[in-house]
Amino acid sequence: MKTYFLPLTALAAVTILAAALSGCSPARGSETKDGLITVPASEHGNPSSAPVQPVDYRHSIHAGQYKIPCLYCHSYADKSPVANVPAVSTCMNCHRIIAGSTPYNQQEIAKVVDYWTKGQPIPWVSIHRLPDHAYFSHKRHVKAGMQCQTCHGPIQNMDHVYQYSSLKMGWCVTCHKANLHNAQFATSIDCYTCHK
Amino acid sequence: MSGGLKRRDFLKLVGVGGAGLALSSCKKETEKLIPFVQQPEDIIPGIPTYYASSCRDCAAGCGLVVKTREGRVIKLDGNADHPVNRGGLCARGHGALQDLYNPDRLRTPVKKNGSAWDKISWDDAIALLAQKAKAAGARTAVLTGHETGSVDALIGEWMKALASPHHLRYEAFGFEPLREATRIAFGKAVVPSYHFDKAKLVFSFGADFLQDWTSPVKAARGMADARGGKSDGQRYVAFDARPNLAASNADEHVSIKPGSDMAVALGLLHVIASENLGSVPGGAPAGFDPASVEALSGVKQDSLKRLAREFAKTRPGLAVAGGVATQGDNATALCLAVHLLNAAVGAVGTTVDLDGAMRMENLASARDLVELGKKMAAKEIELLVVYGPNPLYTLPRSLAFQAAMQAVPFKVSFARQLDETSELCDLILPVSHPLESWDDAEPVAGVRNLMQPAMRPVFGSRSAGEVVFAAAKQNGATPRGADFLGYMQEQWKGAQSGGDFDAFWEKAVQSGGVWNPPAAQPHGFAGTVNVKWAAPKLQGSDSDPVLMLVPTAHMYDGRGANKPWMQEVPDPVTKTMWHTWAEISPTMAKKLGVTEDGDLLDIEGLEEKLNVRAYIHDGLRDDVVAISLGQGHTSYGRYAKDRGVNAMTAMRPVMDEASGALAFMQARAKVTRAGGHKKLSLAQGGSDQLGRGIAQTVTIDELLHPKPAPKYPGNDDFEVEGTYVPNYKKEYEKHPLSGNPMMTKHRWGMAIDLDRCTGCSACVTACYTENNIQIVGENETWKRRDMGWIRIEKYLEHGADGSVEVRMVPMACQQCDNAPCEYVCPVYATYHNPEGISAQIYNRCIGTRYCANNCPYRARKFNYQEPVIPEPLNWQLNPDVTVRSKGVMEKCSFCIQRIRVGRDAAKDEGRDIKDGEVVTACAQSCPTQAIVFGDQNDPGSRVSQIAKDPRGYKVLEILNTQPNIHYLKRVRREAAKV
Repeated sequence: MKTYFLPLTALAAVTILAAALSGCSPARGSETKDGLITVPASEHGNPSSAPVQPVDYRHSIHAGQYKIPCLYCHSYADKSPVANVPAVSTCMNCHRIIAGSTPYNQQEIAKVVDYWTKGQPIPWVSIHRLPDHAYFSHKRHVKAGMQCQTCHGPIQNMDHVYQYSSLKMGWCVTCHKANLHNAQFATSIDCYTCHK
Repeated sequence: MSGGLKRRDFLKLVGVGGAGLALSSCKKETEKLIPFVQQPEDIIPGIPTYYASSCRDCAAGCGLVVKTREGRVIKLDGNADHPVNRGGLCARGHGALQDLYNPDRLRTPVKKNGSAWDKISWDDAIALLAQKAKAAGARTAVLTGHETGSVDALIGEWMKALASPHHLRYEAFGFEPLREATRIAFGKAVVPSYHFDKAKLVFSFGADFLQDWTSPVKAARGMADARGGKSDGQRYVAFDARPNLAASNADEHVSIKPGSDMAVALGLLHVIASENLGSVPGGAPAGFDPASVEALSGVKQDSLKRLAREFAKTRPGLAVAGGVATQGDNATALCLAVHLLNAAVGAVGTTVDLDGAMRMENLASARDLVELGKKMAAKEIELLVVYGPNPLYTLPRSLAFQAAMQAVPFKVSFARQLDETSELCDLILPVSHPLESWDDAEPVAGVRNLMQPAMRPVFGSRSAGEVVFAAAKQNGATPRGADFLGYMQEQWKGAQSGGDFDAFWEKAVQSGGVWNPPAAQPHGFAGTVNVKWAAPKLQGSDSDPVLMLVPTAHMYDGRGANKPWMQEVPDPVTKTMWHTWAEISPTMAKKLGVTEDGDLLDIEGLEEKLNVRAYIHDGLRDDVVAISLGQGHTSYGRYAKDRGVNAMTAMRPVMDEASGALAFMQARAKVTRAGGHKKLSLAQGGSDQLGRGIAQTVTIDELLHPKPAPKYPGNDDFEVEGTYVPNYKKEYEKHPLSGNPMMTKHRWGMAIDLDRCTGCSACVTACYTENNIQIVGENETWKRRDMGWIRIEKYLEHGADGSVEVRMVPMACQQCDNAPCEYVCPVYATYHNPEGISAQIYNRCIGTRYCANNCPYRARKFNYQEPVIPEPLNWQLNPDVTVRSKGVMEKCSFCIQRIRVGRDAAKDEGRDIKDGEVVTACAQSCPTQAIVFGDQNDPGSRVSQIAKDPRGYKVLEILNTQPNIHYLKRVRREAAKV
């Protein structure tokens, strides 16, 4: 292992603990089909951590069953750093016509229609949160050909979305390090790449 | 490290114990993600949207590009296509954002109820206004600021419906003497546009054209373009008793007795006429031969003759005069004398433009306002509507405008926040900010600016246009159009030269207006010189110093005081913050026993005695004491109230009779040491370079015949042995990023041309807005804890003849390749990034401040406190930049967020970043384009080109810090041999 930018030798404590802990770093991830490294199972988020949302929206129905492309709703994921939570108007593009097949679905879709008629936004509970000092661009990652699932997990199978990846710096850097010399989409591990 | 423990793992282990305890008791807070209901077409979250607009903070009318994010305005930039400012924007222009988001803005219309304010609805408020106007009829008076657009026309229609003649436009700094002098000389009562870019030689008589006189950004840019390091560039001579910002930039500063500006101008005319160097209208002015002028002004006869010959022979020339500080009761005569100078050298039509003039001809004078006050006091006015001016702050108290206002039964104010005048009103309609409303203006003939709402009103305000439109309709006026926007479009139909109006309108909105200023035509002197050339009358004993009241760049006529940026960004001339100061010369300080800035002075001479903190101004004459204007508000919000003194209300009601302007230069002052000391916040400790060569200059001779200059000023025998390889280069050879195609392409650098820089501090303010720099407040600035990432350092060079040369240097982090700050950080919060930036990673910083101690440029700033950003000022924050918290070091990042945006755009198109695509906030804002940013690895980039200039040097190079900022020496244009 290497530390970056300047060798760290000053901390005496490190040398004391070094022997005891050498070799503890776990092997991180494995290759996926988009050539990037996925999150090891041991670091996956827990499906039970999914919050209760104001509308029981299912990615498993929309993205899984009906195969609606992610970018249909998250329309700015390839245009902006922010992927965009769809406006209520986007929901209504379909749900003007589709009222639901089961009583439960009908009840949940009715909630969406209700928000729309009242002209109110749906107060979704936030799941992913990057700290304010970190810059992240969805656009750059989508344009580099990454699959949404690489970070967000098997979203098409999720009834309720939960945070799949840790979003910790180490997790980001693992992938960035592995692709430092990627011929097509070289990454960077300069601090200023993400720290703003 | 090989076979060891990673630092991060170690820290994780250390943290685990504490975190385990902490986590057990805390529950994750849920945050809401609120989407749009209807997706707007022109807003993409995370991507800025830009709108064209224009600035309304002074009469200049600069064009703006308004940057919005998620529907909020976060940054203002100059519009590069606009003929007035051509891309630059001054500090006050940036400050408009803090007017928009001022926490003291009124939320709803309010009606006075005894000493309290009752909230009322907008419809009720407008109905009440219309009802009162109907009752008052011809006894309605409207007082606005400098309005030249549709609102003004609409008020005209409203007043016509009410059959009222009382429609006044008033500005405290309204250039009445200049307008009147132009009328006398050329038959047009206008404020000319001055083309500094065309002048080979500029003479100024007290006019601070770089900060508050006519059109400062235009003047600065023109001047820089005419100089800009050229060996045959423009020479500038300032005649002034006090080195104001413009005079601080002069090649030759002729120190004259206060109030003798006119005599000097006439003396120059006398020489030109008697030596037949030009056609002086009216001939040589009697009584102003060089000998008499020497006695009046202190300018040596030889100098006067030399300068007169130079002015007559160097064409095109330009002479400018006027402005508040030198506005005595002979102000019109002074402006006329200077117009004669321009006429004598045929400057009118080249550098003095009467055709594309500033549209201030409809502005009233102070005397007109006083006349209105008399009518009010005589109960001839039943309804007064004030929109803009603040006469209770800017008029002398002795003019009794307050009593006059109190005699008016109903007073209405269109004010965004309470000020001295609106406090006295009965109904306040909180109108929208220009950035929230449709509006237009014609600051210069043919230059029609258009303002569009760049965002929804912060609070439920309505635009002045809407309010007047509604009230006028209720009062029986029949303005065309369905609403104010419709009315405005009707007004604009006249500006169209045929074709489809909708297309024309769309283009005008998109570009921020239509600009077709007419070309300047030559004008001969049309009047007769029938003036009594008298010196300004000054109250008080002849042995006392003359009291000058000086406007400041940030406060202007007091309107800047409610904006924390304007309070905290140091005044360009004195480097003071947050207060009023009284400037005295070092000699006078010694005489009075003033040992330190901030010692209290009693200043008698105006109608009221003023107690002000002293500022020892090296370079000020001994026969002058100067008090800064703009503070001393008794209202106007938390940042302005009860801070400093207001000398304007303390003045005697002396007028320049010819123009009806207030005479700001009206008295000599008795200055005494009051006893006691209050701290005066200063941004800079000393003004001596101590031989370090921080601000360097070069003479024309040296420029034309370059000699090898000492690389290490003050250490001429110093030599570096061998070739030094900076640390970062050695490090990167071993680094995994070496050879990484993303990170080794660019090497960012900056070039600052000191021959262009005027020290105006626009860059400082731009940096505050762009980088979320916190305002620390007066108590902290005393301790030198101001947070600006870039500052303007001011150094003085004392000549053997007693002259003082001012040198300004913008100083930011030099992004040293061999940065002393980087290797002392114990936690690697700061390091050198592969693109040459000395990076600071905030969340890694633990605040040891070793780096700041080790920085020879004082470029690092430490957050001694949490930022205090009252709602809605926080709406302005740039979402691309972290808001730093207490305990964190920060510094210039070369606007890394802008580099990131540039890189993003380049990657999208599969190309490299183009030169000029990434511009730092300071460079973008610079009115003179003194700052150039770019990639030093690209040999064709502007910064690489400029870095090769023989005037180039680096600051404190002897320390081997290897800075990435190149400075270009200022050119000293010494007196020509005529």
